[in-house]
Amino acid sequence: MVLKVLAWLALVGYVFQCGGQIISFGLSLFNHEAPKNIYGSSLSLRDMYQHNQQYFIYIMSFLIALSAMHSYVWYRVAGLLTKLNLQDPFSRRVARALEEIGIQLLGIWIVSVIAQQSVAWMAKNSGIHVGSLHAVHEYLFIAGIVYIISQVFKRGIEIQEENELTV
Amino acid sequence: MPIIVNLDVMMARRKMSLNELAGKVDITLANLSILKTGKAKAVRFSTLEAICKALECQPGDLLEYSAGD
Repeated sequence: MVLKVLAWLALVGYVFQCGGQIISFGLSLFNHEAPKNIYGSSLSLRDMYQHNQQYFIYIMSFLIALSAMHSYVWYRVAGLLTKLNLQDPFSRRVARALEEIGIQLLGIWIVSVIAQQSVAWMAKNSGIHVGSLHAVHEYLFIAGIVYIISQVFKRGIEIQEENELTV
Repeated sequence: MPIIVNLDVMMARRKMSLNELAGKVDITLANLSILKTGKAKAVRFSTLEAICKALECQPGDLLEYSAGD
């Protein structure tokens, strides 16, 4: 129950963050003024916006894509926890969902690395310091852990099925 | 699976129904059905012993190895 509530809270938080960033981005395009601090991000893009609007759009696209990916992972986690039956948690559906979440986390890591390198390159190219993205490589670690757990889970289900089919 | 369970053949030879065998060997009908249809992944020696006793046969009469499958 507590896990379910926490997962749904995290989902709502990330959806708000993603929505906030989309609104900030949309407003900045029409108002011709970038917000000093982008919601949910450590980057300061006002100078970048004034210097090169194209770079600003690239960086914002990465930020929004990452927020959307985070939201989707939390949506999957919340869905998994909502449907999870603790009386019989070892099912193929749960193992598959865990495996997919691991792969999605790997996807977040790949996009984060690309975003981090791109932001660094754009900052260097324009000579404007915009800060750096949050911890990126931790996603690889978490993705690895989740994937390993999913594989152990899968093997556990195979053993359980074998046990059930022992006469 | 290369191991074939010939339980249905032995039951036909002994003219015994699945219900009757289930009652004799004290195994649920569902489990016996799993064994008969070849879905079982493993058979306990105690189960094999009970079936052999009920059908008056040898384990070799019930199990067969086929390399082709």
